[in-house]
Amino acid sequence: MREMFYADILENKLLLGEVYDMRLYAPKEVQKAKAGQFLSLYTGNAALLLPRPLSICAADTVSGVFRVIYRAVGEGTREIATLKPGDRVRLLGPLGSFYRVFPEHKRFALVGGGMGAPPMLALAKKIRKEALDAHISVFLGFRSKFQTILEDDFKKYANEVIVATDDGTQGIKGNAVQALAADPNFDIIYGCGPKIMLKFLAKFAEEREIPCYVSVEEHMACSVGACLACVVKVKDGENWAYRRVCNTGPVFNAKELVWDE
Amino acid sequence: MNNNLSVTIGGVEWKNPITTASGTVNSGKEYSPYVDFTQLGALTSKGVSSEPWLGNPTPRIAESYGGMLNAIGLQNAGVAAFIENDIPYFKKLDTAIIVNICGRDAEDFANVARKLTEAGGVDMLEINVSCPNVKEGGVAFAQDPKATEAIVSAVRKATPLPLITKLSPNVTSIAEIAKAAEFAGSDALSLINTLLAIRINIHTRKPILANTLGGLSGPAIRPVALRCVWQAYKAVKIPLIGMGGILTGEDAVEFMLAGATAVAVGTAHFLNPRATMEVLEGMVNYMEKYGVKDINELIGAAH
Repeated sequence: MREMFYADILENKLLLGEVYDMRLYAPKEVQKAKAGQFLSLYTGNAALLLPRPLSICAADTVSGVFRVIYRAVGEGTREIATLKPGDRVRLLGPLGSFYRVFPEHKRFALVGGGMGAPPMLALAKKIRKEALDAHISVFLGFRSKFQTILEDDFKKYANEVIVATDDGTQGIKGNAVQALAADPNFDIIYGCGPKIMLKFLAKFAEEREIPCYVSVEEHMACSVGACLACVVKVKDGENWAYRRVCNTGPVFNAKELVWDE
Repeated sequence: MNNNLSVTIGGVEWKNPITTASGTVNSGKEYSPYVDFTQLGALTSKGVSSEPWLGNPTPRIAESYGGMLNAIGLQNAGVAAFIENDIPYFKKLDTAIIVNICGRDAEDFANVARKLTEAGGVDMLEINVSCPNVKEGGVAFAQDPKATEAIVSAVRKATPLPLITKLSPNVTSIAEIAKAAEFAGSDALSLINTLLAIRINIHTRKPILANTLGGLSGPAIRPVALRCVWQAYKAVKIPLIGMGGILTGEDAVEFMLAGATAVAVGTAHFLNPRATMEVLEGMVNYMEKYGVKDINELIGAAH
């Protein structure tokens, strides 16, 4: 039997702009977490019925702490931003599919755009743990240097961290996929970020025949696969079909997805 | 606890008056790690059509104060896949099974009903004449007493299974539609389906839902649902299943007092996967508090 669980907020601090860095104490649930999965957090405001899916940035099995980084853009996330250390929250999870790491791969590219960066940190840690000799390159894309997050955190696991900004205020001027394209010599690419970024990433990987896994986002209601709200188009023979992001995804093989929008 | 919770609808005995609202729990499998639906009087499936339906593009949902809009569009794999994948699962469950059926015309509905009847393992059918989110076979049927009557009659001829007709609140007179369904041989009515609604993204100045319009559910619509149950109770003799924003046992009791024989819990699942269990507990507590020996005493007691 799976259950909802309660977690104590240890920290919920503003990182920059509207971006918050939250730590939740849930010693049992962190043990189950896999890179790429998410938690669904109920806001506690009775007028907001739906839980908010939040990607897991880190799950520390020793300290029992989840790290979640989110942008407070809507009513729900703004509500979550008001949570204080000591508050208890109700959650579901960890939920969804996860990033698989294949033993034959040596050179890894992790591409995170904006709020797609946090789940890549959990993956970088996993790869480093499973393949000590792995060469991990992380490509992070942000609007400007004022939006850059997690650069130092990634350096703990990655051989290189390359930042790209839309306005050129930090690193390469351009997006994370353009940064990646400068040196496309990878065995596998993992990505998370805006749909348009993932579309270009998938195209890039397909042209070079590099395996590519991406994590996608959709509006969710139940977050367990029952309501069919959060679907994405997946190739189905000659045709396509809608698949649920919350339980078939959020991680998909990029070449299975239909990138028409 | 000797108080009686069981109710009978269309000759089918439910161990308590609670079921799931169609479309909110799929066939129950996804929620089964969190909640045991066999504790309920009945389990109601998502809508099933004769052929697979793709459903609508995304975004399919939008939140709203005390509720949500959805425009899923009855995505389902069709009756053949349903019989193969879901019926064997239902057969293992010790609770009444209600399958919600949808279609583009009367014959389409009847076809689904026939196939499900042949397959077995189904105790009741709920005829969805009221989905606001599909172009054909949607809410238009439930807005026209003649169309409602034609569909219910066609399904009535196709199956001996007890029939529940799910009605829309998006009508001028709910009593008129309720009477049409009763006249055509429906054994019970479900009230209500969602309320037609819209939300607009003020940043992009476009509707949030890809389908533009969607159905509003959740506690925001509860008093409207109660009003529909109240009016239908006065209009027909067949039992009513009340639904619309039920979160607690108290909410369920209110529906029964308005005239419902049973209730369905839907959107509340998204707020709490165990919502049905809490509704059940709350009803039992109410009965104990007020010395209600038989839950049937509550039906229509406010009239």
